[in-house]
Amino acid sequence: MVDESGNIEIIAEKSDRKLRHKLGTIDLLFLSLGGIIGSGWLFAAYGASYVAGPGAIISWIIGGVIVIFIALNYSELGTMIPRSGSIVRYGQYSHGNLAGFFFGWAYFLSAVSVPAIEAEAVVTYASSYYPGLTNGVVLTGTGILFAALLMILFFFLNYFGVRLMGKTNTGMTWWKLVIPFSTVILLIAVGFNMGNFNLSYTSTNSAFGPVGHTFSGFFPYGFGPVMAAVAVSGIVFSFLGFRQGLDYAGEAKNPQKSIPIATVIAVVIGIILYVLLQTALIGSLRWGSLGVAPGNWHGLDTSLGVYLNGSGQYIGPQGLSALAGAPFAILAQSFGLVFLTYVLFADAYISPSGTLNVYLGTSMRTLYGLGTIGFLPRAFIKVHERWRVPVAPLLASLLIGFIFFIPFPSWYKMVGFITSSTVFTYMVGGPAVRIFRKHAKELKRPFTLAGSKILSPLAFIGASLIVYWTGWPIDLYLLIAVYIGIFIVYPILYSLKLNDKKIFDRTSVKAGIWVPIYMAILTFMTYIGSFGGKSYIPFPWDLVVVVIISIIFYFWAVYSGYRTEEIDTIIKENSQFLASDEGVFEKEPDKGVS
Amino acid sequence: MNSKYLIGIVISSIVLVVGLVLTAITPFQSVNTNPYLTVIDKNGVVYGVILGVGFIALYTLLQYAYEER
Repeated sequence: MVDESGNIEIIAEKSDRKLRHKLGTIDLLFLSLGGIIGSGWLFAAYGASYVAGPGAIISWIIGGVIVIFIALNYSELGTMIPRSGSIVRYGQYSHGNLAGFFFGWAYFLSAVSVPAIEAEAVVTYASSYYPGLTNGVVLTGTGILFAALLMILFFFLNYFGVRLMGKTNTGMTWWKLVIPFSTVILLIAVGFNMGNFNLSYTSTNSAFGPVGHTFSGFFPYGFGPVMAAVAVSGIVFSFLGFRQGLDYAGEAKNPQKSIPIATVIAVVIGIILYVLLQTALIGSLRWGSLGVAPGNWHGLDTSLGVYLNGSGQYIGPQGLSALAGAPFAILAQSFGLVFLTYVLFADAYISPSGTLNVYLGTSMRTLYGLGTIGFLPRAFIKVHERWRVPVAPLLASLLIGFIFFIPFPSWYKMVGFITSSTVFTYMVGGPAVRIFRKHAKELKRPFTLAGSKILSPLAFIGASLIVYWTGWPIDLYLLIAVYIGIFIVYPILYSLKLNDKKIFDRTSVKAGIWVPIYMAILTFMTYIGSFGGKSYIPFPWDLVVVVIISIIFYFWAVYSGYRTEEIDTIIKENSQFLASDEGVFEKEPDKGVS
Repeated sequence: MNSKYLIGIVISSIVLVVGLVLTAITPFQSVNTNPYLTVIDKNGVVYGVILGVGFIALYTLLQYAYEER
């Protein structure tokens, strides 16, 4: 395809130009919405209920607002340097090779696991009428096989190009908007019970809370679980679909206009929809049929040991198992809403499949993005001449996605890991905005974030809190997974000459050392804090400590950034905005930064 | 309008209507006293998928046809 001996930035630029620039604002908005309304709408409201009770409604608002802070920062970055797989490149552009590899590897872990979790969602819903697919909500061998076949189907849809994918996604997302909103209206109309928002339960089993303790009201477990629900039950996971507009930035017709509109509006629509869904779900629960005492919100968690026998088989109430496997469909069924029930079970194929479709493409673009900054073999930036997609990253995304079925065989198990690994990569967005304002003033900014002196640190602190709320031990798993990338995967790639970058050179270490240190400190905080840890620092003081630490690291991150080789090349080569080889890229606006 | 889009739009409209009607007339297989354990008819899910595929295909083709115009 290109000169193998050439400069990696020049090679990447040529590959970037080969990508089709076919996606409009509505396509990007619907790509983001397609990501936001995926399996999250099917399961996250239920998961948030058993973590926080009715207070989960507030969790959706908190999660959405933090994601908007993050999205606003990425809107400036995404329009300034619109590239496919762009999110993975900004850490590299702002802090050099070491930080770039850390963020790239963490983002890669999250992106390749999303298609797997969406496939798991499809299978979990299907287990309501094909019981052999799951045990409780954990996939069996047959269930995993079915999920893998789904991923292969969408591999081929992505293979045949971005235009078809973008267009089918828009229709799919309209469907995904109509069904949840209809569900909210119908459930509230036929079975809403305001009493569910102010129940009282006295624990009789330590699995549900200290025996004899009474949990009551809108926040039965206090405000800590409201924050934990943001991270561990799939709330932020759902909102993270905003990134689609950025990941497909290199294929947008007019990224300068489309990206900020697509990302922010998508999150706002998501907040409205999910708050309504959470309200409808809580108000529609019928405790007597569940086999759980009214107000025992923790008792809705089917993974509790009290519901499992010695060999891990689910032995809890059947009504509860049915509801956990397909929450909204079973609620509709319980009220005799026959048509809605069938449409919801059908939607359980369509909604996650749409997201699976989108994220398989995202995962492909992440690997492509890592290839363009020299962290992966050059085969990963080879774009298919006819279909205009990078084939090697797409195939690798599929195969690596399969692996995630092994450690995380259920939707509820995988969601916390994906949330933490993704949000960790978003931390760099806020500092990167400030660094580019200082070290890359020449770059035009089609979208300039007003008030970035406040919004950039807020995004950094918000992302840090989400990672912290994910809690112990999930953050430990993430730490181990990322360190494996740095200390095992990178040396192997480098020694085989499959990686062009030196990440431990003096400049890279000086600029990027804050990343592994911050990651280790946040993980240590989860161990000594109140979110799954030992509570040596009790709630809410642990939050105060995390916020103080995150402010310190924000300024460290900002002051350690510099004008990297990649930014220098973009400025010298005048390649900030790439025109497609097909010549459909629209004119760039003339707007600098103040 | 390109004839291939017209044919596609007609076919997907038929699929949409057929899916809609079949989903609407399919009852639950059996009703349990515990409403969470009522058994659904698997065919109803298939009809729902047909309805969804018809909807998405029709929307996609209309979009292609509109852009070509």
